[in-house]
Amino acid sequence: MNSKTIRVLSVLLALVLLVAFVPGCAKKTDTGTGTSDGTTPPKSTVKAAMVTDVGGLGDKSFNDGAYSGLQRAEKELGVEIKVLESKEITDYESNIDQLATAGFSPIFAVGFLMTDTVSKMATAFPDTQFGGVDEFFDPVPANVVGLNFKEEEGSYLAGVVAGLATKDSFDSKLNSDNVIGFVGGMDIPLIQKFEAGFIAGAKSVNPDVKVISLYAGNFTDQAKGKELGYSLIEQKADVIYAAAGQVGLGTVEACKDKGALFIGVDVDQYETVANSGDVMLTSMIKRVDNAVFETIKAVVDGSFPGGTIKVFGLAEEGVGLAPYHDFESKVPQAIKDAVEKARTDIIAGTITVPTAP
Amino acid sequence: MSAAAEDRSTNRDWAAIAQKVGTPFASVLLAILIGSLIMWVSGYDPIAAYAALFQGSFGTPKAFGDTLLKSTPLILAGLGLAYGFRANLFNIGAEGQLFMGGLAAGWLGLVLAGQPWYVALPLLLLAAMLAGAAWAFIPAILKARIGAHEVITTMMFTYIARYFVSYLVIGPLKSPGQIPQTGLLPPESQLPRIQSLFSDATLQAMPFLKMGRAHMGILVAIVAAVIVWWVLKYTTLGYENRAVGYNPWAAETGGISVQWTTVKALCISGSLAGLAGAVEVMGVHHRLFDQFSSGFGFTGIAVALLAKNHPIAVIPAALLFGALSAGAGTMQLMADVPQKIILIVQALVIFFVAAEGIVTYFVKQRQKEATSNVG
Amino acid sequence: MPLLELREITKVFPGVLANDRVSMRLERGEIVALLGENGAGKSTLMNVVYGLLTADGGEVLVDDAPVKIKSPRHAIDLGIGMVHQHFMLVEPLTVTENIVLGREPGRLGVIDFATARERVREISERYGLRVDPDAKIIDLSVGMQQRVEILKALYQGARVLILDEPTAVLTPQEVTELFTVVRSLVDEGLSAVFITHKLEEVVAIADRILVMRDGKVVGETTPAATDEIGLARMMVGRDVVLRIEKGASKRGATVLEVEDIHVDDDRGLEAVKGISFSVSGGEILAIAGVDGNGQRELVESIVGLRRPKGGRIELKGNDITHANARASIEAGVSHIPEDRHRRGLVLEFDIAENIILGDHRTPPVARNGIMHPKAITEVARKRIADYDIRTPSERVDAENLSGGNQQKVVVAREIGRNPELLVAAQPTRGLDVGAIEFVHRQIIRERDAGKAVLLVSLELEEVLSLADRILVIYEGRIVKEFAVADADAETLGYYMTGGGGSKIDKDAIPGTPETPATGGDE
Repeated sequence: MNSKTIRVLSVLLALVLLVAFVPGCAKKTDTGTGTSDGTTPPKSTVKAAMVTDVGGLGDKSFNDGAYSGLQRAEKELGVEIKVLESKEITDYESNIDQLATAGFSPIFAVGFLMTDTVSKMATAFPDTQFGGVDEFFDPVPANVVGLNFKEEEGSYLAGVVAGLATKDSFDSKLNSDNVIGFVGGMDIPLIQKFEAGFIAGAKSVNPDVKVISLYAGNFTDQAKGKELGYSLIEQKADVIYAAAGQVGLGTVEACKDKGALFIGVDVDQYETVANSGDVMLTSMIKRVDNAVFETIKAVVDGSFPGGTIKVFGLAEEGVGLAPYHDFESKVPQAIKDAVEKARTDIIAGTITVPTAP
Repeated sequence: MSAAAEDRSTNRDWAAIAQKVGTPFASVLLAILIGSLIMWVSGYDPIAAYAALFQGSFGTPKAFGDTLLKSTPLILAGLGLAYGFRANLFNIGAEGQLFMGGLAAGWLGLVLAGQPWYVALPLLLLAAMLAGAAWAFIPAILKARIGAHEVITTMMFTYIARYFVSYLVIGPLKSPGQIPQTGLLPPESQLPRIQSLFSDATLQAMPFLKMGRAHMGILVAIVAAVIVWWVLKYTTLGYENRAVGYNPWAAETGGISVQWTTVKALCISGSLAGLAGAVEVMGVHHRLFDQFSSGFGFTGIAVALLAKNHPIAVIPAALLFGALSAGAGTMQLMADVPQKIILIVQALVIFFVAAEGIVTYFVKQRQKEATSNVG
Repeated sequence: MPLLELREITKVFPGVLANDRVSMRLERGEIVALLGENGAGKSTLMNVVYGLLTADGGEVLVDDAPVKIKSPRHAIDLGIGMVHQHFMLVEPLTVTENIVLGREPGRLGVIDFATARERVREISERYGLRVDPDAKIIDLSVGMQQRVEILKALYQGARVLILDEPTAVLTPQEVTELFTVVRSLVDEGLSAVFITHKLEEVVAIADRILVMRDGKVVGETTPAATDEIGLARMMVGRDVVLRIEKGASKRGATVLEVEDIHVDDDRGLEAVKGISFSVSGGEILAIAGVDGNGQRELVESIVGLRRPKGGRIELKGNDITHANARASIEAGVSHIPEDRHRRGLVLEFDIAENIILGDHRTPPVARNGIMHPKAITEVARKRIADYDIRTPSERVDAENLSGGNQQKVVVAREIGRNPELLVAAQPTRGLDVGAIEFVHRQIIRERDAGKAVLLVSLELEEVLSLADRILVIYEGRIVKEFAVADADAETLGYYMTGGGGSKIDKDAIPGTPETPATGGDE
């Protein structure tokens, strides 16, 4: 190889790199401030910001959810917004630090791994307000609000859907054995809330239904999720609800393999799990966007609920069900009506959803 | 040997050093240039971006502290990788050894609660080194005895380590509360922040010492680098390590046990990675949880490559990666450049360092052909 | 009118002037020998002629017409064929298939093998190059394979045959046969260029001799006008002693005692099948044999690199049968390996680092695991001076040294350690005359210092010039023992190629009671 060949190669290389990378980041140009449409929003002096966890923007989960809440606040409330993405856990503190130093308040931190950091930074910046998505503070600093969700209420609705669907036959994957399944990540109180709501919802519309619950012991082992899915389907379950992080992705696979319907969790998994349309009945979603938006609104209104854990349930539109998507036309109106009735009853307080099975 | 000959040889030494240092520099420069090009094409202002990046990594004592904070585990992991590479071993599973080191420190720190710092700190660091070495020992034995490739085995052991730590922080070692993590280390088991070692008056007088989160782990890392350098250069252990790395057959002929040297090299590599895990747990998080490392063991590969496996050069190489990471936040804040751009620049640095290796390889082949043609 | 003429050919490699205005002529029916040390530029010159390299200056004329030879294909079209040191044959294919490869008779991609075989047979008969056209290459001896290469060149219509170090891989008998073949080719009107650095071959075969040194032609002569001494002087540029005079062996006590050892090779096949001998202080015992008859395994088992599966090895009465390389070094065994690049040197290490390999754990170089740079430099400088290693500094990397200097580093290290036993395996492989002389002197000096030397060599000339006693190894067994006075190249070659049968024939060993095959004489 002579020097000329090397030169030619390096130029080629540079071109390849450009072609490979440029479209990828050109898409990202909308990250940051600036309004996208022509309407002039009301002016506000509030500067709201968020720090993503290491998943970053584009995770189609809580980071993106929080960001869309921020964007909505920008549009509707006229606040200035800013997002700092984190690559490493040690970025959390420096990112929050920089945002606080630059005068942003409230600052949202997404994910329970930032709990320690938020507590620490809340002490360092007593005049800055913080929102911790999915974070549990004990005690809660006066300038922090914990944003938590009544997962049991959303799960109750999922239970209603599953309890009625297993009796029905609107899809060929449904059988007549009246068994449904639940896959949990770890057997800890947080996940037990999902299980309890799901069972209560199912039993409320189908008292004879058999609900089998299995736990994976972690949130990452997809193979385990698939195995648990197979096991549930062998035991005749035809609708499976998984609250188990990535473990659930394995369960989706099992449902596709052996023919069962699946109910997703956290976000609308129809959108995030590829080729899952034929089994994804619906998803129990946590509306991080609403929680973030409501918190910013409270700051703008001067009613920031500092020092508390704010729990978002059905009434606050903090949890809910995703659309049925491919099953929209198949799902009988009776099921849709039952879900709606359960929703209004919970909001009205006529139904109290248990938080432990 | 004439004086003229001596002169020639020193000149050649300088040329060799210039070449050794020059190519990594060129790789970094090229990466930064192409990074600007990408920013420019994507509609960002590269100059503003790099200015912000610099500001966020070296601009203030606090920013520099963040750079040090992020470089610390990279120096140690990079040293581990470099030591392995010197024996022609690719310890791709440094991440697993790092996890075991973090585990040892996070667990023993709680056990040793109540001990004074001068007992706790050395014991914790030592335990982490032993844990990292132990985690490398089985792949090392497999390599020495049956030739199982360390890239496969150490990688598999990384998965085991990660799941093991996950299991422990969810189960047996979990502290009360919702979050899967161990309890906070007692202060005696924490590596103190640099600025905490000085009185307020001193900090007032010397504001450059206000290095924020930078902790004493950086000192551990620098001392480790000097020791590794010394071992490689001035001990039979290091000599045998290098001999086996370059030419195991000649080493064997010279009475060096290739198998035993392999085992020692991987264990030393593992102990350095374990140390990286320990300083992260003891200096940054002060507790163990399953995501305490952001892939430092893997970034360490790039650090070692950029440093050309020279232990002292590992320090600036790690500082570069640390600075890129530390400045990313400021770059997002001040120049609105997404953090992914930094990832691209890092990837480009790695790419060009690797590409340089490939080009050198071909040039060498070419030279070999040429000399063999001189019949 | 010359068939081939080179005018002022110049070829530059980075940092090396490989050919400096070299001119030569080759007439029809002539054998020109191109003689020179390694690196003198002989192969470069011929690679230019064969189209493998492009000259930076000068011109090539074929039949008085200037040509620019762009590729080997082009060279072949002009009637120039070349037989390389390393054969370029496809091993699983037959002789015929290899010969016609690239020039297959037939049409539309269908090879007409009947015609091909016929033409191969015809050519081989015409030139007296008997080869079975249907034999697979892999089944042929090295000498036969070389014959196939020559046939291939003839089949392609070569009028000029370039032979690059053709005897390097041959046994003495095969060399003789090759010379006969080349002579008969030339009688048929072909011409040949014979590249070599072996003086006796040049004298035996060439019509005219061109001597090259440092890329230049330094002399032209004929065998009649000179002798080996004269050629060596031209080649090296100074007086060279080809066969070092040595005094009578003053034999001391037995140093190495090898008793019925059996050693497997890498594939687990028995390579050494029960060998016994002993070496005394003050004597050089040579093991002669064709490559691959168990020498490597024998040497490796003695120096601790390979475990024998049976038998016993003693050094001065101590059992070292299962010693590893380190224990072996510490017991006083030094080893000049047959391949200095693979086993002898760490090419990336500098001279100083290489010259202490094996001594790197012991004082003065190291104490308690810590090395002493000053001591290393001292040891290195002393050995560099003692063994005449040509280098500006002990910090030069081994890979930047010439082959001769590299071997001197190995010799300096192994002999400088002052061993009881020196095992030298092909110590002059690939070295030029000057370096060979140096290595030979060192080996004899060791002997004269009362040390035991075990020499393993494929070069009969070397064996005959150095050894006090000679064992011939064939298929893992010692088939013959000679006192050096009773040995000559022809007889040795006969036994080396299995002429003595593959079993030890006790009766065939000449009755030399002071040099028995096994056991000491005290």
